[in-house]
Amino acid sequence: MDWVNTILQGVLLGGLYALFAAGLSLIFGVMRLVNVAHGDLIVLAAYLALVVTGTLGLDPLAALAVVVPLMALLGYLLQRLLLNRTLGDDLLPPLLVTFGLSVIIQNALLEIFSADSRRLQAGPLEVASLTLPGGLAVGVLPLLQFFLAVLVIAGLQLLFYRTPLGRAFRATSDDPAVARLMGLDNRHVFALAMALSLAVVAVAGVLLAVRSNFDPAIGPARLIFGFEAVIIGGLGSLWGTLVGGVLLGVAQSVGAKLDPGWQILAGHLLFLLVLAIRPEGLFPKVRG
Amino acid sequence: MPDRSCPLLEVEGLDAYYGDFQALFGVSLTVAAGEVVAVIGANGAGKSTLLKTIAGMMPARLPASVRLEGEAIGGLPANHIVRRGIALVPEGRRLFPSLTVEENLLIGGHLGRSGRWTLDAVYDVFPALAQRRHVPSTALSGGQQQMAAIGRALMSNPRLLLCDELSLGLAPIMVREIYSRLPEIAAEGTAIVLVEQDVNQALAASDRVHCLREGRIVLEGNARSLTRDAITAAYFGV
Amino acid sequence: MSAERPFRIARASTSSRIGLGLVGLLFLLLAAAPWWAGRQDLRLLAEIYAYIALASLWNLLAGYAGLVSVGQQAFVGLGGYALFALALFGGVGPLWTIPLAGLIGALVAVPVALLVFRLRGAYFAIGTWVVAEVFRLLASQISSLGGGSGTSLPAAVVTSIAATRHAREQLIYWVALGLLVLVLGAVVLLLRSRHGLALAAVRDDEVAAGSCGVEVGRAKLLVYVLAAGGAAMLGALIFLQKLRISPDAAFSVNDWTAVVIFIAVIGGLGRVEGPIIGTLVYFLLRETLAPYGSLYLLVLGVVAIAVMLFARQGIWGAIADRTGWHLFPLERRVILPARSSSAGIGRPAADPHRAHSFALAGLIGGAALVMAGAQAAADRMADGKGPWAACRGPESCCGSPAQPDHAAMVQGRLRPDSDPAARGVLEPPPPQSPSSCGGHARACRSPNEPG
Repeated sequence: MDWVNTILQGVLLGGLYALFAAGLSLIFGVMRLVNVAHGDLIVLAAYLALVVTGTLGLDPLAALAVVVPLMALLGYLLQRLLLNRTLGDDLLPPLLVTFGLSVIIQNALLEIFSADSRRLQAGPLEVASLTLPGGLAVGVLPLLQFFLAVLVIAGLQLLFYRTPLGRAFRATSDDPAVARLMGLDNRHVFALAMALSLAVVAVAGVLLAVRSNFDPAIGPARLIFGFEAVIIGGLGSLWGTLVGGVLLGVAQSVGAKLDPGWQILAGHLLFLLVLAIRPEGLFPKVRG
Repeated sequence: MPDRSCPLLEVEGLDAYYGDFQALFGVSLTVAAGEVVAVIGANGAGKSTLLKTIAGMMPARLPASVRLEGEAIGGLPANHIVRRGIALVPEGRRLFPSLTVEENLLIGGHLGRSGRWTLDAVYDVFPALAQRRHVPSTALSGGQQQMAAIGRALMSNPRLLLCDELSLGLAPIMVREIYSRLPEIAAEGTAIVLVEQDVNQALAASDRVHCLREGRIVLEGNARSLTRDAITAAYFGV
Repeated sequence: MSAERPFRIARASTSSRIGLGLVGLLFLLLAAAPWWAGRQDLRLLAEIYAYIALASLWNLLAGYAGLVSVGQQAFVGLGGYALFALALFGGVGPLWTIPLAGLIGALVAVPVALLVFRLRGAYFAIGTWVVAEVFRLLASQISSLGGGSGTSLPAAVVTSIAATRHAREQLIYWVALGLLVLVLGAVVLLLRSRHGLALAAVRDDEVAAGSCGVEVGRAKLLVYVLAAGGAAMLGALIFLQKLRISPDAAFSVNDWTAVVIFIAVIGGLGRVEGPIIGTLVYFLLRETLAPYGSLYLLVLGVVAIAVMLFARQGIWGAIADRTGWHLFPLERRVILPARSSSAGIGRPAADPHRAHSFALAGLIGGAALVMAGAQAAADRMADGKGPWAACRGPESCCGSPAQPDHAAMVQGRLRPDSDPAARGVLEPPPPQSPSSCGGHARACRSPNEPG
């Protein structure tokens, strides 16, 4: 029963990792940009939630209503004013500029909030739990978070394949030059994609802030978890990303059970294993 | 301001460059509403460059070197030019591979310019597409892909349709099939500029013809009255 | 065929030879630093050397081989841990651990490369980062080296370097200077060899380079392994100076990769001189902003982004474009006796008469011993007997076995250039330049040419 519980915890943790991954994957899918600052933006969203709950007295889930649009706006402006200038055949500029952003966000957060570890209080929700048949106790909060993650990914899937905006994303991703001939403004489409990505980042940041302690330095590790989930799941597939996140969560959870020092390492080793035996990921996107 | 007394499209003294390499030298041509104009020329003569520059895929240095009903549009980005009613069927068709046939058409109509062309109207002209509307565009045959590319361009309800090498890589029967639909398209008042290597096809389908050689217009005239020898001489520069 | 060639290929020029002497003097001056500089200055200088070397290696990886790694801290940390493990458990003299660390780094880099090379472009970057994290987590599992909190070098080991502190610091300083010369020399020689051309070809167009006979995979692997070995040696040196190691310090992405990348970008990517300028800018910023904590990192990030957006060729690139100076004689120029002038093939914009190389090859020239050995090795490699010949078979190399022809052709078009339009597009040579392989050049042309 102990092990079942361990795996269940891992699955629920994986929902969060899938959220980290979804924003990353979306940006890469639309404009082939790997946002190295992704993890730091998640942490930024967590601090934003901290400020919003502190000043407005909102509870964390209600804070989403403020943090999500703010991050989306930041994403739009970031892409429009900065990142669009870096796109082109050369992959170095976007990589280095987002790497620079990562260092800037980290150090700015450090200057403003110090290196102290913080956490978002969720009130009675934090300790509430459900008892499943068989005597397994599952926290309501992790469960809620998992379903929120699945909901977000399902929403993204729907948006990508069933809406005009998703069509514009896919067309621009396929052939930006011809997409312009259709009247699509690439700069605007890319900025919308980044806005959407940071909206997802905002959800991930708030969930992270409620779930565990955070400080300005933990961004890169979140980027790496998201990245690992993307590669394990297979590039370009949103549902694959969810599976990748869940597998990563389970690997970490099992690793932690074996030895607390092995939690993160177990996740990395799973990633390297997938890279070694199935580098295209478990659910690669099939294209015609 | 659009001026209805001007010709639909005026290209005047247009130069185009790839870096330091000049591809067009002072090209001029006009297209009236509802007219079908062919641009012929050998490989590398600058035909595609001309269409790309009109459509905004390549920059024109002087705004006034391309005018639509008197409005200078040279150097505007492609997404602004299609908004004003010029659509390009690009060389090699270039459908969006991750979109279905119907999604390709829908994205062509993304701007919502009003006019005759709707999904149904396109399917009427190209019934083959209607049957395959939900398959990925990559699953179409070459000819069907060309139809979808034309349909996609028409969905923006253009006043001027630019077609780059419609016959490229297609079986002759398919080429005839596609060309047979052009009069129907032009009948609505949509002007067409055809770029073709296949001179016979171009002459048969057009009212007027321009011949490009090494980036310059070397011959211009009525498609019916130009002699074969004159065209051959202009085409090859002999 | 080569006997009939109406031109020759030149790398150095008269002024570059004058510069060489000056640079030899600079080297002697720096080598004598223990007699004119204070203790703090010596430490700072040694740190500067380490950063120039690290940035040069990263420049080789990203600026020349197109391998954008953000995981070089894996090898710096590995080198540091190799020092501690060998000195503590193996009883190896601390200075001797440096070459051994290099060897270990290079050996470990091979299986790592097999994994991370499966990732492309930006994903490769993050893959290398994961590897560095794995190393860090593994290092914190080694309880005999202090686990997560790390350990210090015992006094007995420290005194085994040299009896007095003064002598020790002198020795470490010279090792740092020697390592810098070794790394810069290796980078310059590698780029001067035909492999340097192969690298430029791979970076500019991997597919085209492959179709011209460049062994893409092996070229990248060699650079990756060399850079890893170099980083590991520098890691051993850095932690020999610090005398204390911990997983977080050894595998710090900020210290060994972020800063290094910013240095390379600010100085000028794809230029050997870039890292030197970039390092000077970095230390200037760091020392000026020292009272404000980590602010210098923030400022450095902003400057790097600004350079990337507005002056992509970096500081040295801007200087070189304006003056035509080259501290290192890397550019191959075709000398036409009929006109008795040189024509730079790759950079038609630069006035050939002003393109005199102000060669600091002397920094290396100063260390004649290192050079001689490496030169011999490079010559052996250039004969095609080296471990990886860039071109296989005469057909794939323009039909001429005479290497300079090929060299001129590839280098001519693939000179690192800030102009994105010129990059990747293989231009036909200017009409006045004789080309012995025009026909084959066509095969290398990238598809985005006018047509």
